[in-house]
Amino acid sequence: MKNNQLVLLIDNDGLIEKAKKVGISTFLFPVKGYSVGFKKAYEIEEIKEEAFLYINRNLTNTDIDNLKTIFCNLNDNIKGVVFEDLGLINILKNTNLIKIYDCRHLNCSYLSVNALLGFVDSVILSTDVTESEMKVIMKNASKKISLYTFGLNRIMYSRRTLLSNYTKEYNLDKKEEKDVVEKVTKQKFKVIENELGTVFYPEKFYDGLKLFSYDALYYIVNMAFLSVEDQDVLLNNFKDNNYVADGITSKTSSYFLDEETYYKLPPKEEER
Amino acid sequence: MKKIELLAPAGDLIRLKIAFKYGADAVYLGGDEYSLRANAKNFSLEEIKEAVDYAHSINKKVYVAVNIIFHNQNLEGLDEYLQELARINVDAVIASDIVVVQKINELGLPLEIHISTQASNLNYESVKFWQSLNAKRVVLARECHKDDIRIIKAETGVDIECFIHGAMCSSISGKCVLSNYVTKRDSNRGGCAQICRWNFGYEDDKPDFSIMPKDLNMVNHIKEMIDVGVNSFKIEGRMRSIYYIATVVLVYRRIIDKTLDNTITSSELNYYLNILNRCANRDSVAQFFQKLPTNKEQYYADRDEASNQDFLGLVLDYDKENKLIKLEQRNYFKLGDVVEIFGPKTETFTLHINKIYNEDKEEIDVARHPKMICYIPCDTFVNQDDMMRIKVFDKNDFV
Repeated sequence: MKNNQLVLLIDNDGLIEKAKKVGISTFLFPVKGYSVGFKKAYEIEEIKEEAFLYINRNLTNTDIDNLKTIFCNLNDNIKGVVFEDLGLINILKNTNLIKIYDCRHLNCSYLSVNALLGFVDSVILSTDVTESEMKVIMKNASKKISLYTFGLNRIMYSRRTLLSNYTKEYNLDKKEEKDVVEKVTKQKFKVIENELGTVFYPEKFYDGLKLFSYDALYYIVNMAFLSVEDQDVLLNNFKDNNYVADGITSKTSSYFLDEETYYKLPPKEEER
Repeated sequence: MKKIELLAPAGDLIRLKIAFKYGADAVYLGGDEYSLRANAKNFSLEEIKEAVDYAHSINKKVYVAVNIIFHNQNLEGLDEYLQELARINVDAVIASDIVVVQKINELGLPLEIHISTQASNLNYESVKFWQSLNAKRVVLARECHKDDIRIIKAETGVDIECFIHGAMCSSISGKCVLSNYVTKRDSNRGGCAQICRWNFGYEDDKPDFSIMPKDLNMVNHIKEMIDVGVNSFKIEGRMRSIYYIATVVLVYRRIIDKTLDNTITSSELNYYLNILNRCANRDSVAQFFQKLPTNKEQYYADRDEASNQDFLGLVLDYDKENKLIKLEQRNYFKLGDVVEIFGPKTETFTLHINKIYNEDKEEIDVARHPKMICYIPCDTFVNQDDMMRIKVFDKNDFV
């Protein structure tokens, strides 16, 4: 029965009907002018489904002022807002919208999560924590938290237009999407740019679908950049509440769910 | 006259004292725990106490960065650490994780709270959020345009701290975990491997893709920054050398003071700009203050970052009777070289190296050994901790 808690982040219209057929009816729409890292973002008037708005930018004063007006005039199909800028907490305070704070990398402990939960309905837990850290956080959380469970993790967000700058420097054709390879480790990254900034994604899709077994408020599945075939496979799996990535051809990884990052470098051999 | 703070990095007690001596009003530093330079030599609590006692004895301030993003296991000891910082009487704690702010409030600690640039504040509502949690100051994101700074100040009245000099992240600070993915080193817990300085393949027949920004430099915008409401001017670089700290702090001290008393000239600014560029070995520009940076504010694969050996020595003492500088050598110099001496109380002057003596007062032709003690005749009085550098250009070149 978790499909009613599954929120599908989409960047193409074709997915909506397919998702509805498997019982998924809540969508997360990147909002045009207020989101980065997607090939398509939506004008709010375009959104007709039961939806959350996705605002994943750091906002300027002008953005804040504009959003104050926008939030006063939303249609009833807009259930809530998933946002990354703390400036929206105060603006959303007196609305009936569900407020979900997605601070990406800044909530990696249960105390931080609880502090933030004092201001919103839920927070999306950082994908920088391990599963064992996550268990402690969920156990100690004062409200239900939300979880990313699948999709490309945004791992760098620059305000600069890095692709445009590069193509301008070398007088090349402008691109808004490009796969690049780090030359030492040979790791691949997807780079997406719009006028509001540039985002890096890793090559592999994050597979945290096992997190559906935890008691979260919402489970977010990010379908952006997934091939149509793989989208179909995933949705078909989800149809029977079978939250696995079996059958997709895209590379996946559980990343830091199963592998801890270094806080301090381990001592060198001679120092041990 | 407005009180404008010049805030310098301090990697250790030596650099802290140099920063103060050259004109910093306050320094920021990291403790052994919880700071974003996890793999650097940081300050023990005893050293923080020594730093604070020293700073307060000369009416200056010390801010301590407690600015990692905490994982569960890092929370252990945080209460005691913050209590100890309060007991030591540090002037502020710089935080990016809300847990630090909450702890200071819950424990009722008399610690001023500064919100780190890692928290990416670009608008007045996010600043108000932190103010509601008793934050006294916000270090704005480096991406802040001057118009946004003005509005934030007007809407909130918060103490605003902005970076004015040093290295930039390509990403909005706090919004990058490239290091985690490439090296498993957690960038938000002080392990950043600076992947934005690395090269990326684009296409086989195309130049490497680069995302590396040039450094930040606000020499030409100090007046505007004061006018839009910036209270504290922050220099990046807790791991920089004493020469870098001394040079950068002194340049900005002079610019700020002369800006406040309306005596700064464009030729002086140009001179200072050249000094800073020479000192850092990297190009530096104003970045986001006036406009969105373009390709001109970035480095590409063919950048030139040759290191220099401009810093020739540190003045240990001056023998007035014999008119001799006692110098600790830092880079090779020889008879016939033309050098400059500069310092916080020493007007920069040119010196021709006509004689060099070693520690035993024997004449030598060359000072070639790092940290060797030598003596140089000089008619002009110099102060301890003044510095000697190669003379590359003259202030009069810019008039």
